Amino acid sequence: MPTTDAVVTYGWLFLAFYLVVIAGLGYWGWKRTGTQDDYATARGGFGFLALGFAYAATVASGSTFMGIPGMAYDMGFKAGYYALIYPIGAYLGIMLVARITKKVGDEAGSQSIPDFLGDRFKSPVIRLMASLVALFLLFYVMSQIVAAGWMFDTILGIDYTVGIWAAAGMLLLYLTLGGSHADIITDAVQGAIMVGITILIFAMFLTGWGFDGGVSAVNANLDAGQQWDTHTDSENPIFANWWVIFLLFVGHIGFTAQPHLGNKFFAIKGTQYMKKFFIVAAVAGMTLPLMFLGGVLGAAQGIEIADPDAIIPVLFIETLPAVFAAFLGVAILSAIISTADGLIISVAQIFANDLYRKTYVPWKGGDPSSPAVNQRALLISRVATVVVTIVAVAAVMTPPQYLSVFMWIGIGGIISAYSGPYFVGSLDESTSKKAAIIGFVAGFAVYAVIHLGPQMGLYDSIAGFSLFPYSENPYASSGIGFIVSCVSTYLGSKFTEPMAVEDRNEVFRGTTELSDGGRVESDD
Amino acid sequence: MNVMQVLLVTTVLYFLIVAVWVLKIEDLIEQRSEERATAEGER
Repeated sequence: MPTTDAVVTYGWLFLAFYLVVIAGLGYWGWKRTGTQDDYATARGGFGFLALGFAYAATVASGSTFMGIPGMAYDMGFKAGYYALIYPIGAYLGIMLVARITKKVGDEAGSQSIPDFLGDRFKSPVIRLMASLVALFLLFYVMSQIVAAGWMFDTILGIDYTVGIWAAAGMLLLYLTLGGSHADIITDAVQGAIMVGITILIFAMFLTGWGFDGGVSAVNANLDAGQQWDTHTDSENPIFANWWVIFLLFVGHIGFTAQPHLGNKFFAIKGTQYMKKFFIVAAVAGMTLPLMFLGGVLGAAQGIEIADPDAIIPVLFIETLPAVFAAFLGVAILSAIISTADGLIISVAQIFANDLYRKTYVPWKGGDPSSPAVNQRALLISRVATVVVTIVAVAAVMTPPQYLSVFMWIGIGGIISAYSGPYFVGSLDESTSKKAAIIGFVAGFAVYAVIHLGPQMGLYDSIAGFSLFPYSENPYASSGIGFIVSCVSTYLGSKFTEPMAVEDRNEVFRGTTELSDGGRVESDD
Repeated sequence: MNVMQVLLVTTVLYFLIVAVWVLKIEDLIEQRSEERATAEGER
């Protein structure tokens, strides 16, 4: 990597500043974390502005700075169909379910999305199934840690192995103290910085940085297949045809069901702030993926790199003063960290809340709302945060070969399995428990058959029909999973007993005790 | 149309949908949910 001494020096300075800030925010979060519910959800703790930026930063993740520009560096302008269409799906998704998640989740005291599904359908089985699929998010954490390790290497010249442990140290510095409060506030700051950098990249692209003749000159300097009049490429699984591009949009509607995203809705002060939250998140979320234009610019400038994912830092190092390059490097590092933190909290909650508090305790005949159980769950949350982080780092000392396949069991599996129960179940109150289970299993099964099987090398066609591009396109496969899950949940609810009226009243309009003993009125 | 023009059009459409949702549909959902709560309260 073309790191210079000046970049390294400035990089350390920015890193030191960043550490002080996150340690401070960790302390701020710790002061606000008294109960398990605070740690898991930061319920009612944030206004729309902070939460809107935090949500956008978490959706966008490290892929905004690495994966998406890398795709554009490889494939040219058509990568924009991924970059600017996935957020449309993702933010339409939140419009459909955010309000109901907040309302029902607050009333039932749900602490995660698997827990919300269990509470919504009054079904411990659905909660358990959902939390087991969500466990695969651990591989998502691993992939973020790998990315952080490479960023340390690129910007600061630190060895990868040291870098991943440094990333773990930074995460634990604020997460074990401040839980969701620290997660959300650091993500909000992160989101604001990311929007600033994206605007810089967009300006560099519009002025045709490094070229005379602006945007047209950028286009003219690309390979023929990368130029802006090439829309699809039958050899490329992601952009093989317009149908898979449409599926990419559909699949991302279900992206909202990811536990580390859905749990953010609990943190907003009240449902009356939802509209403003939509607007902030929707605008910031559409802005961030414009970063793909940096990858296009890098390809046009003819920058040669081995790893396309590093195109943005390399572009900055090669074309901007060292101080900017170093700032960008630390910003990217914190973007990666900001996605990892939300994921770690979510995985820790699977153990503390979904499996221990809401499954094991009632199974043993205990009361999940008792103060003793809550204190133990909070302790499990903190311990699980440490254990999950350390396990993730230890697992990627040598990056595992099938990391991205396992990661997509989590991401695509959650979209394919949760979508029917979550979306249909939120929009149609009468949806039954059985219909939800049918949608859950059908969506996951189809996704596994068309994508996971071929990815594991088991087969690449069924009865003579080639599974390409689904075999190599997790987004389109998740789109199919989304459709199958929603349709089978809907059909299932036509042929099964609808949810009883008294149960619906309790879930959607009742007043129930919160886990911390407080009460939430139904009209808020 | 080139890729950037297609994306510009889809982005504008998307923001129109967001605007309609935020200005109209959110209120309709709220209204209907209140109506249903009242109806079930009377039952």
